[in-house]
Amino acid sequence: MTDRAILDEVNNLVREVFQRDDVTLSLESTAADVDGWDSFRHIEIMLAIELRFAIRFTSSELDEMQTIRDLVDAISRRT
Amino acid sequence: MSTTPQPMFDTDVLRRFESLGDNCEFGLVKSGVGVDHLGFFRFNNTPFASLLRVLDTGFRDFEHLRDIRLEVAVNNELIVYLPDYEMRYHTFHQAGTVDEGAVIARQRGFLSFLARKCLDDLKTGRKIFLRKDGSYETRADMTRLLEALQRHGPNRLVWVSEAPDRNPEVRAEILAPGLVHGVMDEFSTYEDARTFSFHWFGLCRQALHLFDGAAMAQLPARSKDVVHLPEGRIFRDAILDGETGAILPAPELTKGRALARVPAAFSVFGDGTTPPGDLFDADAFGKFRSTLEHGHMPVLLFRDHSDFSFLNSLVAQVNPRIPKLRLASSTAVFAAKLFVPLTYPIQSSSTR
Repeated sequence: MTDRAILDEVNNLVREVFQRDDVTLSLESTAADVDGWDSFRHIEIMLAIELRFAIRFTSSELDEMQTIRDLVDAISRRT
Repeated sequence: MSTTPQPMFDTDVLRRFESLGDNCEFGLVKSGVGVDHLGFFRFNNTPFASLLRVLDTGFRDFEHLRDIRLEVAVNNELIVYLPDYEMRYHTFHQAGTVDEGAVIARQRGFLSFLARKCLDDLKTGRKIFLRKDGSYETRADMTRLLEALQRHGPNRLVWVSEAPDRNPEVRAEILAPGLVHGVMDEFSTYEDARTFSFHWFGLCRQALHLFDGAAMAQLPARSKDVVHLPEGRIFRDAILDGETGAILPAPELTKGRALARVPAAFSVFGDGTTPPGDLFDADAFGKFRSTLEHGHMPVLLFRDHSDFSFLNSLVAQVNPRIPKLRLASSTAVFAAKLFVPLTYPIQSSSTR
């Protein structure tokens, strides 16, 4: 998958978790850019992504994710 | 063999540590300076016996934990209660504002996910685990805990106790290979773990030094020149006086009295009668923040008899990660401020 396709899918999953259509993430976005993206939401999103892409993040990957680009890169390495 | 010093901020130091309870205090210390790593025990109240059981069983029960309940705390927050382990943790939701059934349903996935993450950390030994002593735990207890950790991987443990005399001088010592005992001036109360002592930072630096040989904390580097702001709003290279709680220019430091040294801070003292929220200049504060070096969190100073609800509104305005840092009670009587986090660089040594 291209990074663009991964980003689109991440956007879809985030919208599902937040049950909102007005969330659009760019590669430079961070959790702080989305109202309500707290640690519990973060776990929900990570679980949804793991399920969708059939991957499992390592603890180190989870700790080092700062931006959506980091997330997309982590997915890209596994797919 | 050469030694290459690398700048290391408090945030970098805290990233190396992982809370094992007993409560959420250390998790809040970490998130207070923006280290928001997910962690199984980060916001948990975990009795020691339960902690050992979780480790000894390799989190086995948390794959499909059945009995998950919600309680309502005195502040009306929903608290998750796991009766099988006598564990409790925050939801940060107020009762009546969310579907409680849905909250419970989500916990199963959360617990399984966080258990897997913790097991990953345990296997790699990349984190230094930290247990805050909440129930008069003993050295023998900690030896047992370290053994439980090391059955999973090459793990290290910091056991943190509270000084009986509330001595503000934090100290740490090696008790055994892989085990450091640290003593804090005092812990936060269980009712208000968000208001914590800033000595956590010094303690973690000392522990890291003992484990990894990183150089001890240096006095802070000066921040870049701060843009001109109205007189009285900015403190640069200031000293927090340990006796009076006053903020002094650095040259006035009297040896042994300093509680902390801050490279740059922003004051919202006002005249003591005007609500701080009315005085706060968000644009000026934004400019101040933009001058801070990477890794420095802004330090805010304001009177301890201020209306603390102001802090909540301030957090919403300028930074979602501004905790309250408090002074030790022995000095707080005179303290005219609370702190928002101190981050100053230290040097770590990597040996090649």
